Amino acid sequence: MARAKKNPAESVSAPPVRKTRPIPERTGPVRRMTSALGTPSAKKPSSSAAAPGQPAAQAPSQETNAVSSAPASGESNPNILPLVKMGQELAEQAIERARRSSGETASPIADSLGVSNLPGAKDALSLAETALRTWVELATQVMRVVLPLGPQLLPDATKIVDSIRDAFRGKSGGEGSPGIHVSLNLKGAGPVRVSVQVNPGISPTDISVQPLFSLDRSSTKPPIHGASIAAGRDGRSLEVTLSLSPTQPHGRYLGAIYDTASGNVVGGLTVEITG
Amino acid sequence: MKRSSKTTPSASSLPSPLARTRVAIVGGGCASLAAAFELTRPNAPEQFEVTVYQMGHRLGGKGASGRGSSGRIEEHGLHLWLGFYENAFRLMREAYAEAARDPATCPIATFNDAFKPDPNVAVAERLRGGDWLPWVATFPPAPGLPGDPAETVKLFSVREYLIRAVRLVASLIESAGKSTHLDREPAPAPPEGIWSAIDKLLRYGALATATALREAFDLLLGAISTFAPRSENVVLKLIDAVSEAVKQQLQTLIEADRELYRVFGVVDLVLAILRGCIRFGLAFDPRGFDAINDVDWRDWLRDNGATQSSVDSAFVRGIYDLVFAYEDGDTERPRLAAGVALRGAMRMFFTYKGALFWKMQAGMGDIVFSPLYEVLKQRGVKFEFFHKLTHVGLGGARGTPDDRHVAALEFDVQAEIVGGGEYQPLVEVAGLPCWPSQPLWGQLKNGDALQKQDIDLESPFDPTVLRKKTLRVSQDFDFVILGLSVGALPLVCKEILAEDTRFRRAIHSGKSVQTQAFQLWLREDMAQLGWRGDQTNLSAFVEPFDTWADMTHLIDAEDWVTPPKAIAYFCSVLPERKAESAGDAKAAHQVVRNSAVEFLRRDVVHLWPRFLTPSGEPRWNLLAAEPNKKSRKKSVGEEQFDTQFWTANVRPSDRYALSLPGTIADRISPLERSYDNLTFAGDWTASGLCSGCVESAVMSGMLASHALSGFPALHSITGYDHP
Repeated sequence: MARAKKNPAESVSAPPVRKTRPIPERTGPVRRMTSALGTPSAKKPSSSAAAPGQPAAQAPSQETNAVSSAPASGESNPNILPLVKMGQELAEQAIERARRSSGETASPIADSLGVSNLPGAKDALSLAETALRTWVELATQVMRVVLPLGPQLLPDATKIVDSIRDAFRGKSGGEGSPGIHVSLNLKGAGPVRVSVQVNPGISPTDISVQPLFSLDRSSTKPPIHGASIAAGRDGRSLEVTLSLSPTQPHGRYLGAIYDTASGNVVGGLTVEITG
Repeated sequence: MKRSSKTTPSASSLPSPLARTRVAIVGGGCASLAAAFELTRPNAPEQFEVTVYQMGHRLGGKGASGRGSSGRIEEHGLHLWLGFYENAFRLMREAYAEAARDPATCPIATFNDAFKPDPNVAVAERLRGGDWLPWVATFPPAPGLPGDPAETVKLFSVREYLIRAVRLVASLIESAGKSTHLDREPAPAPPEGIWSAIDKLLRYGALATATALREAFDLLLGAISTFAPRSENVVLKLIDAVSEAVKQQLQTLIEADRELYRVFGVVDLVLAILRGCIRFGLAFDPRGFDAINDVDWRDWLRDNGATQSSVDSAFVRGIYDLVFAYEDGDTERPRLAAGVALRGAMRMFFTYKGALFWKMQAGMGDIVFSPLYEVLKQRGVKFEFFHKLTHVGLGGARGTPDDRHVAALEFDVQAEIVGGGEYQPLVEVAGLPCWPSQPLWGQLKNGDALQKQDIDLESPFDPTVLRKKTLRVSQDFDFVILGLSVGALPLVCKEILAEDTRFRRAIHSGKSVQTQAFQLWLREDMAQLGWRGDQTNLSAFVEPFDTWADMTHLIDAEDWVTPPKAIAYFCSVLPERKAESAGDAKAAHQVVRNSAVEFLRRDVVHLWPRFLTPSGEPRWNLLAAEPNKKSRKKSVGEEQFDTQFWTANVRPSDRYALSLPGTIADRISPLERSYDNLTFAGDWTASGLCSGCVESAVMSGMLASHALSGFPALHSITGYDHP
């Protein structure tokens, strides 16, 4: 057999071209969304033909007898991510509005109580702002849940935010009330700073206080159980009794004051053990 | 045992399109073969020419198994597949479908033949006085089949896991209540909102009755379903109240009731997990469970309120045993990254499909690596057995990452094939293509002489080398996937180790552990041996062999003249020992043998009371073996143990990859591009699961394929973005 003639172009060997890996779209998992929302289902291939980067034969469709006929658990709306993103943006706007309004809402409370310059006033403002922000973020979570169900629910979700804010403003931003005399009966060692905030118009005979929990977010400090609040002999003033264990760790503690008849929170008792 | 009649087309007989990108995959374990599988999908956008280089005679890495005398299956250890191994199961379902084995001639022709569900799991509790009591649990079947199409799989958010955890606790309390005098009135739905109801409940401290406790669980479910950042304190207080109430209601009862004691332990742990997830803000942390990977899981549980007895419980030890989570093989030093453990536990118990466990119906080599080998061969993948990698040579300028690349791969060729053909690695046992435990010496040049030398071609320390072989970039390969064990990489990547701090940190952090295992073939069944229960898988047992599985179902897959009545596998970590030579490996082998004999003398009686004679001596004659053609001497007494199988997994490639606290962030992702033609694959990499298991390895292999080719798409790797 005659040997095939070499193409002259082949006689000069070109230097081999070294191939390189493609630049990766990312180098690790993205858990930001899955932590809160779970893993979105992978998109179904649109046809049997393979698309770049997405092999169509991923599913073991050939072995149909082995593939469960169980219904897909969690078939999700393919538009979930844009919707949630929109929801988050809306929520951020709502939080920002709430943040601004929280000062407006909380300041009158402090002013009306005449406690703006008292120790603990900042706690009251902080508490009010925290409460608002918590509710707004709760609304954010609600939106995250409801958004995948359909954009038609959006108005309702934003209404939640407004209604919470309005309710809060309406409830606590009232016409003000005369100050209430508070007396303190302190048992236990060590310097402490105590402040009491209550809503105007409360009935001192119907209130009580929860155990006081540490405000240190990551704290394992035990709560203070030895706090009580009751009406004074005149029925209009308040008597706060605080019994502290000598081993109670330093720090700030807060307990909710609530109306025993309605169950509503009507104020807060803040104790700072400074040592 | 005969040579497998299943023939696969030679790669050279297939058309080879020009200009295909050539990929050299070094190592033939799960991660490597998963990468090869993805790179050679027939309908992939780009076709790759893949060659797998394998030391010794068989594929499988730590999952390799072999067939010995009587067709016995000889494993590295016990391999159970968990029902959440979505990617690994999907790979196998596709492999079986594509292999298209003939059911008329092959006893394991389909996926359904290969894997069977196993709902039973047990842990052993140590009682006062030194006795051990098995606690067997049967998990109900779950919808679906593992490996169902990726687009149907929906994994949970952290919040959803927490909701399921609350439901689990509530149902456990409910079941506990059925065996006690706790009242069981249905919990009324709160007429007011959840949060004000919680406020009331906490305020009045009214959790003294089971009804109130049930109501509290309902509220807890509601709270977890809706809580937002910075409202954690309320939820935490509710969990504390529930926890205290559970203790008050059950504490007095658990002393007298072992079942309640177990329930209390699980409830205590789950409440600690709930408390910890909320305290650490895991539901909103962009790192997901990885946020707590710097602490040990037991410490984390303790810090979040679990009692010491719960942390020391068989349940927690069983999890540690499952992943050999003992640093340096020291069972006094349990260490497991909390995030990895939590992710694994959540997925294991809440997302399994079909059954909690799935058992292979033959050896792992036969069930997993034979069909993968067949399919990859059909696709044109080349396999170069007896190629031991000795050095990875770098090219490119130092300090210019974009130019860094692998320039050469140097191998010791350990053996050559008679006639220069391809090595045919499989044998047929009971009609099934299997891997033999030893090389098929008859196919090798000077095979008889090699066999007589008592060499170990699967050991990197074996000196056997016929010739050196160097592959060069652009001439012989374009891309490289190093699919080696983390224990083996330092031996061959000295240049990378010296220059690359990122790689060095990953290797030094990526600790691994030696393991040990032994297998028994028994002439009496488990009931005759005194085991009271179904076929099961038990862990948290006494060291040195903390895990046992009844593998009697494998009898039909072997090739006995007189079949045994039962098969049992035992395994555990092996305390770290020097293993740098063949002599070290033999010494370790002897240590395992002695430990196993001691275990059978002293400990197995807790599982099999009738394995011992009334005088307390093991009934060695129960160990089944067929006559050895080479030796006419009949074993007696303890010598009969030597007819069984045991292994000391001390070779670098055998070591099990640990997930130690504080090391997970150091793992290298196959997606990283420190070298422009190299990636890594293995369960030691940042696979998303980051645990030593076949699922992690397969995910890593898929990522390695994606790194080189852009596919499979990352969203089709189930669980990669899981929290």
